[in-house]
Amino acid sequence: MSNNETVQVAQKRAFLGSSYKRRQMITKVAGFIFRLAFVIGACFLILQPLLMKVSVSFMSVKDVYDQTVKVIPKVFTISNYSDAIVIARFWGNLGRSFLLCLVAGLTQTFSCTVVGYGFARFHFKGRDLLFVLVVICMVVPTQVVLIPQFLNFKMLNMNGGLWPFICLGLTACAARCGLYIYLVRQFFRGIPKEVDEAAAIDGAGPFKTFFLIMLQSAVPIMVTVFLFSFVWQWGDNTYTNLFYSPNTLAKMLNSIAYAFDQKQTAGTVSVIAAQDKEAYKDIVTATTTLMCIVPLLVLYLFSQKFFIQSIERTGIVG
Amino acid sequence: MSKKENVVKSPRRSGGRLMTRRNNTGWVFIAPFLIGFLVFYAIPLVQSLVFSFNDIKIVGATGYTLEPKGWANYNHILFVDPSFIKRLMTAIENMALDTIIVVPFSFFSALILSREFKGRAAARAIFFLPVVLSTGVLASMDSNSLMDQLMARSATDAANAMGAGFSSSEVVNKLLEGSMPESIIKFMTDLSGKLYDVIIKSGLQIIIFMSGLNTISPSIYESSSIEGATAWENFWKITFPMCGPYLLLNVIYTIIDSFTNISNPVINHVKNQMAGLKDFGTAIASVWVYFIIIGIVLGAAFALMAKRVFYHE
Repeated sequence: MSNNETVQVAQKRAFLGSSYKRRQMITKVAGFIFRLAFVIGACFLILQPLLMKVSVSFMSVKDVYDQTVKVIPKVFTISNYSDAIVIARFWGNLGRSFLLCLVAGLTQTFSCTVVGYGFARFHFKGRDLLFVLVVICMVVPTQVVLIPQFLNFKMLNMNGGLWPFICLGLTACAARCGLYIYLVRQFFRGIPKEVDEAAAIDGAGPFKTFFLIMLQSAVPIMVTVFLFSFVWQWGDNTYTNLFYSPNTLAKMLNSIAYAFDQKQTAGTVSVIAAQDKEAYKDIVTATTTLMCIVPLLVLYLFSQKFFIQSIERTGIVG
Repeated sequence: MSKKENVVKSPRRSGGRLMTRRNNTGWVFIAPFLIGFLVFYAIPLVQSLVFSFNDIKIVGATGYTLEPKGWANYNHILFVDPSFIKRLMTAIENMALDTIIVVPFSFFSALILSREFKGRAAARAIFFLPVVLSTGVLASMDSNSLMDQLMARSATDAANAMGAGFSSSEVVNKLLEGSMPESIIKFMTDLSGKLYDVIIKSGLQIIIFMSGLNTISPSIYESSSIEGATAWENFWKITFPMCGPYLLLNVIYTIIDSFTNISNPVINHVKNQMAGLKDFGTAIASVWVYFIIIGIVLGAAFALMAKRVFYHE
């Protein structure tokens, strides 16, 4: 009798165990499939416009009108690129954009790292109140202060060159700097206090600690801030329209249609029949956009490792 | 006894003084920002408030003149110009939609991307690609008419291949006809059309959520699992509340991002006005009205959420 009972209990347990395991298996497989679908779907959505641009950039006008052409062009051509380079005055604009973004990126990276470090690692009086100022920088739409800034720079006769960008960059007051300061602060908060203490015991002052010890471990977040500020400046034409008089890639992209018409009438690019003009304009626009994106892609590929690292290490505990 | 006390106390005291001195160097680190804030935010804010009551004319290479206009600029944008209110309403609508969709989506994505799986590095690299590629002008270049045409071509082809003569949204409408109110159907189809926009907009939010998920120590999950909590319970009792501060931050950030994005109708209009170097007065007045509304919305969001957020520290 008691023997029978134990057998029953054992069976019941085995049954329960297997159903639990089965349920776990089902959840696991369902989760896997769902995750796979989500990740692949989202990745496809993100990459599709980019791939589309790549395919269009090799198309000739004929392919646009051909209903059977969707992705792979039938009449493969690279003349779009040579035309786009002429229309966009690409190399000159690329150089200027690059210089501008480099200046903006480097100054902002430096200042935001320093300021973020100050907010993260020192407990002075009124710190939290001052951090509210950073939050204000994040909240205020830049357009509110842009016109006074423009007029002030104008009074100092600094407009048109790199000076406004250097000034705004070095004081961590350019667009989105509030966000960068916040990210840097979160990053430095994750570094244990013992590092400072050990450095202090070894005789390093706060500046020595910062430059010799902290900066080395802050490379990921600095690369991230540089990436963000560089990229933002690359696509921006609010600030560049007001403060920077030479042409840049972003400004040029905005007026690409106009430049296209001009070069067409001047005849410096491959001349297109009138009825094909609109289609060709779209092709050239896509090609130019792609050419503007490529430098960013290269930058992203190189900095991607640090970028992901900084995300993983921001706010980490234990 | 007293000697012992001295021994214990004195290093603490000097250490305290050292730490205060050390902490005060923090001022040096944040000094650049403080100067910058004063010069590039505080003063311009006051100036811009003054400007909004004036007409600004640019004189010569370095000067400008102000012509007092009282409330005329505000009067113009609020009661004369019909387009401003319309733009403002669109902006608020977009903001509400963005916040409702982007924040949950990015939280979900962060949850998935922070798990270990094969090809995670590649998936992360692709997910953060929009943060890099869709800024400013580059983002607006996505809506190229040729692209739309080619994509539409693929879509109609797919629909034709299915044997149906209508596009995908029509299929959805036919399927849902009668079963749901039309507004919900419209919302759903809008949503599917906006999926790309949502993914593009949630890059930074995913980053913030992922760094939030990092702050949860794995030992909490370990102990709760040993106590018999399921993954579902773990999520609602640990992950969700611990991410509270980051949720708040992301809601605030999404609202700001939606309001200050250059594809935003108000900002876009102001930007064009500024690029023409004219109508500075009305441009600034409209930005101030806009700014006050942003403030109200942010304040409301903060008041609604701040009390419910759980702070671990």
